[in-house]
Amino acid sequence: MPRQLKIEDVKPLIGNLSRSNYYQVEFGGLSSGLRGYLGQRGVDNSFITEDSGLLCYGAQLPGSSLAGIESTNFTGITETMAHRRIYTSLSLEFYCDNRYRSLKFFEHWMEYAASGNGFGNYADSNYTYRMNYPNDSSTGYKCNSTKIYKFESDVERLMEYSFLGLFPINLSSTPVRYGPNSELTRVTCEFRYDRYIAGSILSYDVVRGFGYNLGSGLTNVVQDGLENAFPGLNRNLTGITDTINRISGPVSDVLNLFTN
Amino acid sequence: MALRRQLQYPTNIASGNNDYFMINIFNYQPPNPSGFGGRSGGAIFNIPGSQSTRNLRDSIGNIILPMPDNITDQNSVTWDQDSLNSLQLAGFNAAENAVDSVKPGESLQDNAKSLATSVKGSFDGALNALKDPKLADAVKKALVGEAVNVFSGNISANSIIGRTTGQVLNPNLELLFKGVILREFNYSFSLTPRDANESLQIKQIINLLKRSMAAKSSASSGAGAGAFIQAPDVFQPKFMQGPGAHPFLYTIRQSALVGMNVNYVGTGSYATYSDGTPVKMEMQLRFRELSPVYNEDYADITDGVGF
Repeated sequence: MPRQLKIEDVKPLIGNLSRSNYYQVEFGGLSSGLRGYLGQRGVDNSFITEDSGLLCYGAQLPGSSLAGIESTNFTGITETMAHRRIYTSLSLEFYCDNRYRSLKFFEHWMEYAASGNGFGNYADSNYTYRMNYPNDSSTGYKCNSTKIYKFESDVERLMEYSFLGLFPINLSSTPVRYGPNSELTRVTCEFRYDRYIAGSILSYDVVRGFGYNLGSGLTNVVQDGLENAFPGLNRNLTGITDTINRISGPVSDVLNLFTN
Repeated sequence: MALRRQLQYPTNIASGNNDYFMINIFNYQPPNPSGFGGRSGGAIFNIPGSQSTRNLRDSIGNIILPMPDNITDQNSVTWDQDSLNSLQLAGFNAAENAVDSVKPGESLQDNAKSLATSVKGSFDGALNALKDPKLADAVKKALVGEAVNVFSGNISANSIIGRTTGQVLNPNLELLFKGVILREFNYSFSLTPRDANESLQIKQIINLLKRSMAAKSSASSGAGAGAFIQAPDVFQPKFMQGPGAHPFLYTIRQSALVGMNVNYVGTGSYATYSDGTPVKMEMQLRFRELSPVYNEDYADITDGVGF
Protein backbone atom coordinates (compact mmCIF):
# COMPACT_ATOMS: atom_id res chain seq x y z
CA MET A 1 0.00 0.00 0.00
CA PRO A 2 1.44 3.41 -0.90
CA ARG A 3 2.74 5.53 1.93
CA GLN A 4 1.49 9.04 2.43
CA LEU A 5 4.54 11.27 2.49
CA LYS A 6 5.13 14.86 3.48
CA ILE A 7 7.70 17.17 1.98
CA GLU A 8 9.80 16.75 5.12
CA ASP A 9 9.93 13.01 4.50
CA VAL A 10 11.45 13.27 1.05
CA LYS A 11 13.51 16.40 1.49
CA PRO A 12 16.58 14.61 2.93
CA LEU A 13 16.58 12.32 -0.05
CA ILE A 14 15.62 14.63 -2.90
CA GLY A 15 17.67 17.47 -1.48
CA ASN A 16 20.87 15.47 -1.53
CA LEU A 17 21.12 14.26 -5.08
CA SER A 18 24.42 13.87 -6.80
CA ARG A 19 25.51 16.58 -9.22
CA SER A 20 27.06 15.38 -12.46
CA ASN A 21 29.57 18.22 -12.70
CA TYR A 22 31.85 17.10 -9.87
CA TYR A 23 34.32 14.52 -11.11
CA GLN A 24 37.96 14.11 -11.88
CA VAL A 25 39.84 12.06 -14.45
CA GLU A 26 43.40 11.05 -13.62
CA PHE A 27 45.70 9.23 -16.02
CA GLY A 28 48.45 7.13 -14.46
CA GLY A 29 50.46 3.96 -14.65
CA LEU A 30 51.91 4.55 -18.11
CA SER A 31 55.08 2.58 -18.82
CA SER A 32 58.41 4.37 -18.77
CA GLY A 33 58.80 3.74 -22.49
CA LEU A 34 55.46 5.37 -23.27
CA ARG A 35 56.11 8.31 -20.94
CA GLY A 36 59.49 8.89 -22.56
CA TYR A 37 57.97 8.71 -26.04
CA LEU A 38 55.30 11.25 -25.11
CA GLY A 39 57.82 13.45 -23.28
CA GLN A 40 59.92 13.74 -26.44
CA ARG A 41 56.82 15.13 -28.13
CA GLY A 42 56.06 17.78 -25.54
CA VAL A 43 53.60 15.81 -23.45
CA ASP A 44 55.32 15.84 -20.10
CA ASN A 45 54.46 13.73 -17.10
CA SER A 46 52.72 16.52 -15.17
CA PHE A 47 50.39 17.10 -18.11
CA ILE A 48 49.57 13.37 -18.24
CA THR A 49 48.89 12.94 -14.54
CA GLU A 50 47.31 16.31 -13.72
CA ASP A 51 46.39 18.71 -16.51
CA SER A 52 44.95 16.19 -18.96
CA GLY A 53 42.38 15.21 -16.36
CA LEU A 54 41.47 18.82 -15.70
CA LEU A 55 40.97 19.43 -19.41
CA CYS A 56 38.50 16.56 -19.55
CA TYR A 57 35.21 18.43 -19.76
CA GLY A 58 33.04 15.41 -20.49
CA ALA A 59 33.49 11.94 -19.10
CA GLN A 60 31.50 8.85 -18.27
CA LEU A 61 31.39 6.71 -15.24
CA PRO A 62 32.10 3.28 -16.68
CA GLY A 63 29.42 0.72 -17.30
CA SER A 64 29.26 -2.99 -17.87
CA SER A 65 26.74 -5.53 -18.94
CA LEU A 66 26.14 -9.20 -18.28
CA ALA A 67 25.87 -11.57 -21.20
CA GLY A 68 23.19 -14.17 -20.59
CA ILE A 69 22.17 -17.61 -21.74
CA GLU A 70 18.58 -18.72 -21.87
CA SER A 71 17.02 -21.87 -20.49
CA THR A 72 13.59 -23.11 -21.55
CA ASN A 73 13.40 -26.24 -19.41
CA PHE A 74 10.06 -25.16 -17.92
CA THR A 75 7.37 -25.07 -20.58
CA GLY A 76 6.51 -21.53 -21.54
CA ILE A 77 9.10 -19.99 -19.22
CA THR A 78 12.42 -18.54 -20.33
CA GLU A 79 15.01 -18.29 -17.58
CA THR A 80 18.14 -16.25 -18.13
CA MET A 81 21.49 -16.86 -16.47
CA ALA A 82 24.51 -14.58 -16.72
CA HIS A 83 27.74 -16.15 -17.92
CA ARG A 84 30.08 -13.25 -18.73
CA ARG A 85 30.58 -9.65 -17.67
CA ILE A 86 31.26 -7.32 -20.56
CA TYR A 87 32.93 -3.95 -20.02
CA THR A 88 31.85 -1.21 -22.37
CA SER A 89 34.37 1.18 -23.88
CA LEU A 90 34.96 4.59 -22.35
CA SER A 91 34.67 7.88 -24.22
CA LEU A 92 36.29 11.05 -22.84
CA GLU A 93 36.09 14.61 -24.20
CA PHE A 94 38.86 17.14 -23.69
CA TYR A 95 39.54 20.78 -24.27
CA CYS A 96 42.73 21.25 -26.25
CA ASP A 97 45.30 23.66 -24.83
CA ASN A 98 47.17 26.00 -27.17
CA ARG A 99 50.21 23.73 -27.09
CA TYR A 100 48.02 20.93 -28.49
CA ARG A 101 49.08 18.60 -25.75
CA SER A 102 45.64 16.94 -25.53
CA LEU A 103 45.86 16.08 -29.20
CA LYS A 104 49.48 14.99 -28.98
CA PHE A 105 48.78 12.88 -25.90
CA PHE A 106 46.37 10.54 -27.63
CA GLU A 107 47.81 10.81 -31.13
CA HIS A 108 51.26 9.73 -30.02
CA TRP A 109 49.94 7.20 -27.50
CA MET A 110 48.28 5.33 -30.37
CA GLU A 111 51.34 5.86 -32.55
CA TYR A 112 53.49 4.35 -29.80
CA ALA A 113 51.34 1.19 -29.74
CA ALA A 114 52.24 0.64 -33.39
CA SER A 115 55.91 1.58 -33.13
CA GLY A 116 57.50 -1.80 -32.48
CA ASN A 117 59.72 -1.29 -35.54
CA GLY A 118 61.25 1.90 -34.19
CA PHE A 119 60.34 5.54 -34.49
CA GLY A 120 62.48 7.15 -37.13
CA ASN A 121 61.43 5.87 -40.51
CA TYR A 122 57.86 7.07 -40.88
CA ALA A 123 58.50 8.81 -44.20
CA ASP A 124 60.36 5.93 -45.85
CA SER A 125 58.73 4.48 -48.96
CA ASN A 126 59.09 0.96 -47.58
CA TYR A 127 57.75 1.87 -44.12
CA THR A 128 56.05 -0.91 -42.21
CA TYR A 129 55.29 -1.15 -38.56
CA ARG A 130 55.08 -3.76 -35.84
CA MET A 131 53.18 -3.54 -32.60
CA ASN A 132 54.60 -2.98 -29.14
CA TYR A 133 53.70 -5.56 -26.52
CA PRO A 134 50.71 -4.25 -24.57
CA ASN A 135 51.68 -5.37 -21.05
CA ASP A 136 55.46 -5.15 -21.00
CA SER A 137 56.40 -3.47 -17.74
CA SER A 138 58.83 -1.02 -19.36
CA THR A 139 57.55 -0.65 -22.92
CA GLY A 140 53.87 -1.63 -22.81
CA TYR A 141 51.16 0.66 -24.17
CA LYS A 142 48.46 -0.26 -21.64
CA CYS A 143 48.20 1.61 -18.35
CA ASN A 144 46.87 0.29 -15.07
CA SER A 145 46.30 3.28 -12.80
CA THR A 146 43.89 5.52 -14.65
CA LYS A 147 41.05 6.58 -12.39
CA ILE A 148 37.81 8.49 -12.48
CA TYR A 149 36.61 10.02 -9.19
CA LYS A 150 33.04 11.09 -8.63
CA PHE A 151 32.33 13.30 -5.64
CA GLU A 152 30.18 16.19 -4.50
CA SER A 153 31.07 19.76 -3.68
CA ASP A 154 31.85 18.93 -0.06
CA VAL A 155 34.16 16.06 -1.05
CA GLU A 156 32.94 14.03 1.88
CA ARG A 157 32.03 11.07 -0.19
CA LEU A 158 33.87 9.59 -3.06
CA MET A 159 33.15 7.02 -5.73
CA GLU A 160 36.31 5.76 -7.33
CA TYR A 161 36.82 3.75 -10.51
CA SER A 162 40.22 2.23 -11.32
CA PHE A 163 40.84 1.02 -14.88
CA LEU A 164 43.17 -1.86 -15.65
CA GLY A 165 44.72 -2.29 -19.10
CA LEU A 166 43.41 0.98 -20.51
CA PHE A 167 44.56 2.36 -23.86
CA PRO A 168 43.07 4.58 -26.59
CA ILE A 169 41.48 2.84 -29.54
CA ASN A 170 39.78 5.67 -31.40
CA LEU A 171 40.81 9.31 -31.56
CA SER A 172 37.90 10.99 -33.30
CA SER A 173 38.51 13.52 -36.04
CA THR A 174 38.71 16.91 -34.37
CA PRO A 175 36.47 19.50 -36.02
CA VAL A 176 37.93 22.97 -36.72
CA ARG A 177 36.20 25.73 -38.69
CA TYR A 178 36.06 29.46 -39.27
CA GLY A 179 33.72 31.08 -36.76
CA PRO A 180 33.56 33.05 -33.54
CA ASN A 181 36.79 33.45 -31.62
CA SER A 182 35.22 31.95 -28.52
CA GLU A 183 34.91 28.41 -29.91
CA LEU A 184 37.31 25.96 -28.31
CA THR A 185 38.99 23.00 -29.95
CA ARG A 186 37.68 19.79 -28.47
CA VAL A 187 39.24 16.34 -28.65
CA THR A 188 37.26 13.14 -28.19
CA CYS A 189 38.96 9.84 -27.56
CA GLU A 190 37.56 6.36 -26.96
CA PHE A 191 39.35 3.93 -24.67
CA ARG A 192 39.24 0.20 -24.17
CA TYR A 193 40.26 -1.51 -20.97
CA ASP A 194 40.42 -5.04 -19.59
CA ARG A 195 38.27 -4.30 -16.56
CA TYR A 196 37.61 -1.73 -13.91
CA ILE A 197 37.27 -1.87 -10.14
CA ALA A 198 34.60 0.18 -8.39
CA GLY A 199 35.67 1.54 -5.03
CA SER A 200 38.98 2.37 -3.52
CA ILE A 201 41.85 -0.06 -4.07
CA LEU A 202 44.19 1.80 -1.74
CA SER A 203 45.61 -0.73 0.67
CA TYR A 204 44.85 1.63 3.56
CA ASP A 205 41.16 1.72 2.63
CA VAL A 206 41.13 -2.02 2.17
CA VAL A 207 42.65 -2.53 5.62
CA ARG A 208 40.11 -0.16 7.17
CA GLY A 209 37.28 -2.10 5.54
CA PHE A 210 36.40 0.68 3.10
CA GLY A 211 38.02 -0.82 0.01
CA TYR A 212 35.85 -1.80 -2.97
CA ASN A 213 32.94 0.26 -1.57
CA LEU A 214 32.73 -1.97 1.49
CA GLY A 215 31.68 -1.04 5.00
CA SER A 216 29.97 2.28 5.51
CA GLY A 217 31.77 2.54 2.27
CA LEU A 218 30.63 6.01 1.44
CA THR A 219 33.93 7.63 2.04
CA ASN A 220 37.58 7.00 1.70
CA VAL A 221 38.42 10.52 2.77
CA VAL A 222 41.30 10.20 5.21
CA GLN A 223 41.88 11.93 8.49
CA ASP A 224 44.41 14.65 9.02
CA GLY A 225 47.64 13.59 10.61
CA LEU A 226 47.70 10.13 9.07
CA GLU A 227 49.75 11.25 6.12
CA ASN A 228 52.96 10.91 8.09
CA ALA A 229 52.10 7.38 9.11
CA PHE A 230 50.89 6.44 5.65
CA PRO A 231 52.79 8.46 3.04
CA GLY A 232 50.76 9.15 -0.08
CA LEU A 233 47.51 8.62 1.72
CA ASN A 234 46.18 12.11 1.18
CA ARG A 235 47.25 12.34 -2.42
CA ASN A 236 43.84 11.56 -3.86
CA LEU A 237 42.02 13.92 -1.56
CA THR A 238 44.50 16.71 -2.17
CA GLY A 239 44.20 16.30 -5.89
CA ILE A 240 40.45 16.47 -5.78
CA THR A 241 40.22 19.52 -3.53
CA ASP A 242 42.81 21.18 -5.73
CA THR A 243 40.63 20.49 -8.75
CA ILE A 244 37.61 22.02 -7.07
CA ASN A 245 39.56 25.08 -5.99
CA ARG A 246 40.95 25.64 -9.45
CA ILE A 247 37.66 25.12 -11.27
CA SER A 248 35.60 27.15 -8.79
CA GLY A 249 38.18 29.92 -8.41
CA PRO A 250 38.18 33.33 -10.06
CA VAL A 251 37.06 33.34 -13.70
CA SER A 252 40.48 34.46 -14.80
CA ASP A 253 42.07 31.42 -13.15
CA VAL A 254 39.64 29.04 -14.78
CA LEU A 255 40.12 30.63 -18.18
CA ASN A 256 43.84 30.49 -17.65
CA LEU A 257 43.60 26.80 -16.93
CA PHE A 258 41.58 25.94 -20.03
CA THR A 259 43.22 28.24 -22.54
CA ASN A 260 46.88 27.65 -21.77
CA MET B 1 67.98 -37.58 -19.85
CA ALA B 2 67.12 -34.04 -20.86
CA LEU B 3 66.06 -31.59 -18.20
CA ARG B 4 62.35 -31.66 -17.47
CA ARG B 5 60.74 -28.53 -18.91
CA GLN B 6 57.88 -26.55 -17.42
CA LEU B 7 56.18 -24.09 -19.71
CA GLN B 8 53.23 -21.88 -18.96
CA TYR B 9 51.05 -19.46 -20.89
CA PRO B 10 49.60 -17.03 -19.82
CA THR B 11 51.86 -16.00 -16.95
CA ASN B 12 50.38 -16.96 -13.57
CA ILE B 13 47.35 -18.71 -15.08
CA ALA B 14 47.96 -21.62 -12.70
CA SER B 15 48.00 -19.49 -9.56
CA GLY B 16 45.10 -19.05 -7.17
CA ASN B 17 41.89 -20.86 -7.96
CA ASN B 18 42.10 -20.50 -11.74
CA ASP B 19 40.98 -23.21 -14.13
CA TYR B 20 43.58 -24.27 -16.66
CA PHE B 21 44.63 -27.11 -18.95
CA MET B 22 47.78 -29.09 -18.20
CA ILE B 23 49.63 -31.47 -20.50
CA ASN B 24 52.27 -33.79 -19.05
CA ILE B 25 54.62 -35.41 -21.53
CA PHE B 26 56.19 -38.83 -21.01
CA ASN B 27 58.43 -41.21 -22.90
CA TYR B 28 56.40 -43.93 -24.56
CA GLN B 29 56.53 -47.35 -22.90
CA PRO B 30 55.44 -50.30 -25.07
CA PRO B 31 52.46 -52.23 -23.67
CA ASN B 32 54.27 -55.60 -23.63
CA PRO B 33 57.97 -54.89 -23.20
CA SER B 34 58.77 -58.53 -22.29
CA GLY B 35 56.99 -59.91 -25.35
CA PHE B 36 54.47 -62.73 -25.45
CA GLY B 37 56.76 -65.77 -25.17
CA GLY B 38 56.70 -68.13 -22.20
CA ARG B 39 52.95 -67.92 -21.68
CA SER B 40 51.10 -71.18 -21.25
CA GLY B 41 47.81 -72.49 -20.03
CA GLY B 42 45.47 -69.82 -18.71
CA ALA B 43 48.18 -67.16 -18.84
CA ILE B 44 48.18 -67.16 -22.63
CA PHE B 45 45.13 -64.91 -22.58
CA ASN B 46 46.36 -62.77 -19.73
CA ILE B 47 47.01 -59.59 -21.72
CA PRO B 48 45.85 -56.59 -19.73
CA GLY B 49 43.36 -54.52 -21.69
CA SER B 50 43.66 -51.33 -19.70
CA GLN B 51 47.15 -49.98 -19.04
CA SER B 52 46.41 -46.37 -18.37
CA THR B 53 49.39 -45.82 -16.10
CA ARG B 54 52.12 -47.70 -17.86
CA ASN B 55 53.79 -44.54 -19.22
CA LEU B 56 53.89 -42.55 -16.00
CA ARG B 57 57.66 -42.61 -15.93
CA ASP B 58 60.36 -40.55 -17.53
CA SER B 59 58.48 -37.28 -17.58
CA ILE B 60 59.85 -34.96 -20.23
CA GLY B 61 57.98 -31.84 -19.20
CA ASN B 62 54.64 -30.26 -18.63
CA ILE B 63 52.77 -27.48 -20.35
CA ILE B 64 50.14 -25.24 -18.82
CA LEU B 65 47.64 -23.57 -21.12
CA PRO B 66 44.38 -21.68 -20.61
CA MET B 67 41.12 -23.60 -20.81
CA PRO B 68 40.47 -24.49 -24.45
CA ASP B 69 37.75 -22.72 -26.40
CA ASN B 70 35.87 -25.96 -26.94
CA ILE B 71 35.50 -28.65 -24.30
CA THR B 72 33.53 -31.70 -25.36
CA ASP B 73 33.77 -35.42 -24.83
CA GLN B 74 32.32 -38.30 -26.77
CA ASN B 75 32.16 -41.78 -25.30
CA SER B 76 31.26 -44.55 -27.74
CA VAL B 77 31.15 -48.31 -27.95
CA THR B 78 30.32 -50.39 -30.98
CA TRP B 79 27.05 -52.23 -31.12
CA ASP B 80 25.67 -53.72 -34.34
CA GLN B 81 22.59 -55.65 -35.39
CA ASP B 82 23.06 -59.37 -35.77
CA SER B 83 20.79 -62.15 -37.09
CA LEU B 84 20.82 -65.90 -36.66
CA ASN B 85 18.02 -67.82 -38.43
CA SER B 86 16.82 -71.37 -37.78
CA LEU B 87 18.81 -72.92 -40.62
CA GLN B 88 22.03 -71.34 -39.41
CA LEU B 89 21.25 -72.52 -35.90
CA ALA B 90 20.53 -76.05 -37.18
CA GLY B 91 23.80 -75.99 -39.10
CA PHE B 92 25.63 -74.90 -35.98
CA ASN B 93 24.05 -77.74 -33.98
CA ALA B 94 24.93 -80.26 -36.67
CA ALA B 95 28.53 -79.11 -36.72
CA GLU B 96 28.73 -79.21 -32.94
CA ASN B 97 27.27 -82.76 -32.83
CA ALA B 98 29.60 -83.83 -35.61
CA VAL B 99 32.63 -82.60 -33.70
CA ASP B 100 31.36 -84.43 -30.61
CA SER B 101 30.85 -87.66 -32.62
CA VAL B 102 34.48 -87.91 -33.61
CA LYS B 103 36.26 -90.31 -31.24
CA PRO B 104 40.00 -90.16 -30.90
CA GLY B 105 41.57 -93.57 -31.48
CA GLU B 106 38.88 -94.91 -33.83
CA SER B 107 39.58 -95.49 -37.49
CA LEU B 108 39.03 -92.77 -40.06
CA GLN B 109 36.33 -94.83 -41.73
CA ASP B 110 34.38 -95.29 -38.50
CA ASN B 111 34.67 -91.61 -37.65
CA ALA B 112 33.44 -90.60 -41.13
CA LYS B 113 30.48 -92.90 -40.77
CA SER B 114 29.51 -91.57 -37.35
CA LEU B 115 30.02 -88.02 -38.64
CA ALA B 116 27.58 -88.53 -41.51
CA THR B 117 25.08 -90.19 -39.19
CA SER B 118 25.35 -87.33 -36.76
CA VAL B 119 24.82 -84.67 -39.41
CA LYS B 120 21.84 -86.47 -40.91
CA GLY B 121 20.36 -87.00 -37.48
CA SER B 122 20.75 -83.33 -36.62
CA PHE B 123 19.00 -82.10 -39.76
CA ASP B 124 16.26 -84.74 -39.52
CA GLY B 125 15.65 -83.60 -35.98
CA ALA B 126 15.44 -80.00 -37.07
CA LEU B 127 13.01 -80.78 -39.88
CA ASN B 128 10.82 -82.91 -37.63
CA ALA B 129 10.70 -80.04 -35.16
CA LEU B 130 8.97 -77.93 -37.78
CA LYS B 131 5.89 -80.26 -37.57
CA ASP B 132 4.35 -78.93 -40.80
CA PRO B 133 5.36 -81.37 -43.62
CA LYS B 134 4.92 -78.66 -46.26
CA LEU B 135 7.18 -76.29 -44.39
CA ALA B 136 9.69 -79.04 -43.76
CA ASP B 137 9.74 -79.77 -47.47
CA ALA B 138 10.37 -76.08 -48.21
CA VAL B 139 13.22 -75.97 -45.74
CA LYS B 140 14.67 -79.10 -47.32
CA LYS B 141 14.57 -77.39 -50.72
CA ALA B 142 16.19 -74.32 -49.22
CA LEU B 143 19.00 -76.48 -47.92
CA VAL B 144 19.44 -77.95 -51.38
CA GLY B 145 19.52 -74.39 -52.73
CA GLU B 146 22.25 -73.49 -50.28
CA ALA B 147 24.16 -76.53 -51.46
CA VAL B 148 23.81 -75.34 -55.05
CA ASN B 149 25.35 -72.03 -53.98
CA VAL B 150 28.58 -73.90 -53.42
CA PHE B 151 28.72 -74.23 -57.23
CA SER B 152 28.31 -70.46 -57.74
CA GLY B 153 24.53 -70.54 -57.88
CA ASN B 154 22.70 -67.56 -56.37
CA ILE B 155 19.78 -69.11 -54.58
CA SER B 156 18.55 -67.68 -51.31
CA ALA B 157 16.98 -69.94 -48.71
CA ASN B 158 14.42 -67.25 -47.96
CA SER B 159 13.63 -67.03 -51.67
CA ILE B 160 12.76 -70.75 -51.87
CA ILE B 161 10.76 -70.72 -48.64
CA GLY B 162 9.01 -67.47 -49.48
CA ARG B 163 7.94 -68.68 -52.93
CA THR B 164 6.61 -71.97 -51.57
CA THR B 165 5.09 -70.97 -48.21
CA GLY B 166 4.81 -67.16 -48.17
CA GLN B 167 7.05 -67.01 -45.11
CA VAL B 168 10.68 -66.19 -44.42
CA LEU B 169 13.07 -67.51 -41.84
CA ASN B 170 12.94 -65.68 -38.53
CA PRO B 171 16.24 -63.75 -38.46
CA ASN B 172 16.16 -63.42 -34.63
CA LEU B 173 17.47 -59.90 -35.12
CA GLU B 174 19.21 -58.39 -32.11
CA LEU B 175 21.67 -55.60 -31.32
CA LEU B 176 24.91 -57.15 -30.10
CA PHE B 177 28.01 -55.62 -28.55
CA LYS B 178 30.90 -55.59 -30.99
CA GLY B 179 33.74 -53.86 -29.19
CA VAL B 180 35.27 -50.69 -27.74
CA ILE B 181 36.45 -47.50 -29.42
CA LEU B 182 39.37 -45.26 -28.54
CA ARG B 183 38.27 -41.71 -27.73
CA GLU B 184 39.57 -38.64 -29.54
CA PHE B 185 39.66 -35.03 -28.32
CA ASN B 186 40.07 -31.79 -30.23
CA TYR B 187 41.08 -28.62 -28.42
CA SER B 188 41.58 -25.06 -29.69
CA PHE B 189 43.65 -22.40 -27.96
CA SER B 190 43.98 -18.70 -28.73
CA LEU B 191 47.53 -17.55 -28.04
CA THR B 192 47.96 -13.79 -27.65
CA PRO B 193 51.26 -12.93 -25.95
CA ARG B 194 51.14 -9.79 -23.81
CA ASP B 195 54.87 -9.38 -23.27
CA ALA B 196 58.17 -10.80 -24.44
CA ASN B 197 58.21 -13.49 -21.75
CA GLU B 198 54.84 -14.87 -22.80
CA SER B 199 56.02 -14.81 -26.40
CA LEU B 200 59.00 -16.98 -25.44
CA GLN B 201 56.78 -19.38 -23.53
CA ILE B 202 54.42 -19.77 -26.49
CA LYS B 203 57.31 -20.38 -28.86
CA GLN B 204 58.72 -23.08 -26.59
CA ILE B 205 55.32 -24.68 -26.04
CA ILE B 206 54.73 -25.05 -29.79
CA ASN B 207 58.27 -26.34 -30.23
CA LEU B 208 57.97 -28.91 -27.44
CA LEU B 209 54.61 -30.20 -28.66
CA LYS B 210 55.88 -30.56 -32.22
CA ARG B 211 59.07 -32.25 -31.06
CA SER B 212 57.25 -34.65 -28.74
CA MET B 213 54.66 -35.74 -31.28
CA ALA B 214 57.31 -36.60 -33.87
CA ALA B 215 58.52 -40.20 -34.32
CA LYS B 216 62.08 -40.97 -33.29
CA SER B 217 64.69 -42.90 -35.20
CA SER B 218 65.64 -45.74 -32.85
CA ALA B 219 69.37 -45.85 -33.61
CA SER B 220 71.49 -43.25 -35.32
CA SER B 221 74.38 -45.56 -36.12
CA GLY B 222 75.33 -49.21 -36.02
CA ALA B 223 73.73 -52.24 -37.56
CA GLY B 224 70.14 -51.29 -36.70
CA ALA B 225 70.31 -47.75 -38.03
CA GLY B 226 67.36 -46.96 -40.22
CA ALA B 227 65.68 -50.33 -39.77
CA PHE B 228 63.13 -49.14 -37.20
CA ILE B 229 61.52 -45.96 -36.04
CA GLN B 230 60.40 -45.44 -32.47
CA ALA B 231 57.06 -44.22 -31.13
CA PRO B 232 56.73 -40.51 -30.27
CA ASP B 233 56.22 -39.32 -26.72
CA VAL B 234 52.81 -39.68 -25.09
CA PHE B 235 50.72 -37.06 -23.34
CA GLN B 236 48.57 -36.85 -20.24
CA PRO B 237 46.12 -33.96 -20.74
CA LYS B 238 44.27 -32.83 -17.64
CA PHE B 239 41.76 -30.15 -16.66
CA MET B 240 42.89 -28.42 -13.48
CA GLN B 241 41.51 -26.04 -10.89
CA GLY B 242 44.16 -24.49 -8.69
CA PRO B 243 46.57 -27.20 -7.55
CA GLY B 244 44.15 -30.10 -8.05
CA ALA B 245 42.10 -31.82 -10.71
CA HIS B 246 39.05 -29.98 -11.97
CA PRO B 247 36.10 -30.96 -9.76
CA PHE B 248 33.60 -31.29 -12.60
CA LEU B 249 35.14 -31.87 -16.01
CA TYR B 250 36.06 -35.26 -17.41
CA THR B 251 39.29 -37.21 -17.06
CA ILE B 252 41.40 -37.99 -20.09
CA ARG B 253 43.60 -41.08 -20.30
CA GLN B 254 47.09 -41.08 -21.62
CA SER B 255 46.97 -40.06 -25.22
CA ALA B 256 48.94 -39.72 -28.37
CA LEU B 257 49.03 -36.32 -30.01
CA VAL B 258 47.86 -37.35 -33.46
CA GLY B 259 47.39 -33.88 -34.94
CA MET B 260 48.48 -30.30 -34.35
CA ASN B 261 47.55 -27.21 -36.36
CA VAL B 262 48.83 -23.72 -35.67
CA ASN B 263 47.52 -20.64 -37.45
CA TYR B 264 50.06 -17.85 -37.08
CA VAL B 265 47.82 -15.18 -38.60
CA GLY B 266 45.01 -15.27 -36.08
CA THR B 267 44.39 -11.55 -36.59
CA GLY B 268 43.22 -12.14 -40.15
CA SER B 269 46.11 -10.20 -41.66
CA TYR B 270 49.79 -10.59 -40.83
CA ALA B 271 50.76 -8.56 -37.75
CA THR B 272 53.68 -9.02 -35.38
CA TYR B 273 55.35 -7.54 -32.33
CA SER B 274 58.78 -5.98 -32.39
CA ASP B 275 60.57 -9.35 -32.13
CA GLY B 276 58.54 -10.94 -34.92
CA THR B 277 56.09 -12.80 -32.67
CA PRO B 278 52.64 -12.93 -34.29
CA VAL B 279 50.07 -10.86 -32.42
CA LYS B 280 47.60 -13.74 -32.32
CA MET B 281 47.99 -17.46 -32.96
CA GLU B 282 45.45 -20.24 -32.90
CA MET B 283 46.57 -23.73 -31.96
CA GLN B 284 44.52 -26.89 -32.37
CA LEU B 285 45.54 -30.15 -30.74
CA ARG B 286 44.07 -33.55 -31.51
CA PHE B 287 44.63 -36.21 -28.84
CA ARG B 288 43.69 -39.90 -29.07
CA GLU B 289 43.68 -42.10 -25.98
CA LEU B 290 46.07 -45.07 -25.88
CA SER B 291 43.61 -47.47 -24.27
CA PRO B 292 39.84 -47.74 -24.09
CA VAL B 293 37.81 -46.88 -21.03
CA TYR B 294 36.31 -49.81 -19.09
CA ASN B 295 33.64 -49.86 -16.44
CA GLU B 296 36.18 -50.86 -13.80
CA ASP B 297 38.24 -47.72 -14.47
CA TYR B 298 35.55 -45.61 -12.81
CA ALA B 299 36.48 -47.17 -9.47
CA ASP B 300 39.52 -44.88 -9.44
CA ILE B 301 37.50 -41.74 -10.21
CA THR B 302 35.91 -40.21 -7.13
CA ASP B 303 35.15 -36.73 -8.46
CA GLY B 304 33.79 -35.12 -11.58
CA VAL B 305 31.82 -36.65 -14.42
CA GLY B 306 34.28 -39.53 -14.90
CA PHE B 307 35.98 -40.26 -18.20
